[in-house]
Amino acid sequence: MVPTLGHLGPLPVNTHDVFVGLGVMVAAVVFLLEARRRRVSDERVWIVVAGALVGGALLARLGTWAQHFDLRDNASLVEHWLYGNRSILSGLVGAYAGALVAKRLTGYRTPTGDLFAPAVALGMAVGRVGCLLTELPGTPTSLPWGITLSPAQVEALRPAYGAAAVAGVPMHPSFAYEIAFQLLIFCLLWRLRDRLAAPGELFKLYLAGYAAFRFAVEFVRGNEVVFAGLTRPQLFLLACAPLLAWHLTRQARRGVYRDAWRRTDRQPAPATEAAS
Amino acid sequence: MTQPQPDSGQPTPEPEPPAGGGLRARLGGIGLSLLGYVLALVVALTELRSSDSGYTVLAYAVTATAVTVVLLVLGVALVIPQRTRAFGTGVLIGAAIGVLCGGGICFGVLATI
Repeated sequence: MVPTLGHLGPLPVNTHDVFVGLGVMVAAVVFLLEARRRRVSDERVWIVVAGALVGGALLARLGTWAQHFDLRDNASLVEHWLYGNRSILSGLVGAYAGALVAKRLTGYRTPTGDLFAPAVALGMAVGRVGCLLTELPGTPTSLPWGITLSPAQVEALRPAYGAAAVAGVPMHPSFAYEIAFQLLIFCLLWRLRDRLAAPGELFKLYLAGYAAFRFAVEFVRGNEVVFAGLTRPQLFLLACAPLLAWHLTRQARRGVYRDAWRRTDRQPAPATEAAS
Repeated sequence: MTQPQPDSGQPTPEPEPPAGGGLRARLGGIGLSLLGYVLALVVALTELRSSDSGYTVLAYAVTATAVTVVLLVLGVALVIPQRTRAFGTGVLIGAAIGVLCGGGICFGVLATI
């Protein structure tokens, strides 16, 4: 566990948030490179970016507000905003909704998912390094790569995780699994970016891949089990799964993924011509 | 000789400025937003001299939240007119970055002082 990276003068540098910041920067660079490659010239795309970022940032912080079925048991929105945890899943939902609202308001009809998908994947890989270095790793494991916490590290984690933080027991490095997944899917998306027959499809593929991975990794993440042996993120993903499955099946039937694995490199479709 | 007539049934699209034209304005907007969060941190650190760190974190939380609300309202207001659109977009992007990491970084700084 590395809660701080050092000091800037008298001020300690918080590890988690430095990596979130680095993740945002890396995502911005990938987005800009992809926008340039696709010759995106419409200024309205930046309003879509702003909409996605604002929606993602707000819902990442407020999306986990409803922790209990009885709403009276939840903290107030103000308390949750000030002291609550943050969630990638609700952040992704907020970003998606924010982009849709911005597109509707500006009349920008070109699909933008192909621009966002590789950027989000690589940004998440970097951002998760902060989680790996500062958060409770996962459930106990006998695998050789398990992370073992010292009593001092457990003491630091206790306020946030309670009895789940245990010293001397190897635990799954669930955030390392996620970093590996994000890097893998980034490479996959990079390879597929000119091979899908429908514009904007990369982001839906990313969401489907991440949903499947996240559902699986939750079994070793160590989040609170709330219903039927499942954690809150798993229940959320179960609710969203039919929608994603329906979309992917429909697109597969239309042949959108037919050329994905063939060695036929297409020219990048300029985003301004890719509207469907 | 007939001139091509515009399609009267279709609204004329608003002309977009050339790519990259608003880059400086966008960066300016992002800078203004991040400056807002830095100011919130400075206010909280000033409070630190006269009180305990728990109160300082609360002071930062309240100030940063107020800054976020102001920036979001300002950003949306500036995005509407074409002339200030790029700057407003930058303000919104900066506010989102501030919420995602700026707030966290400052919380981390204050909590460990």
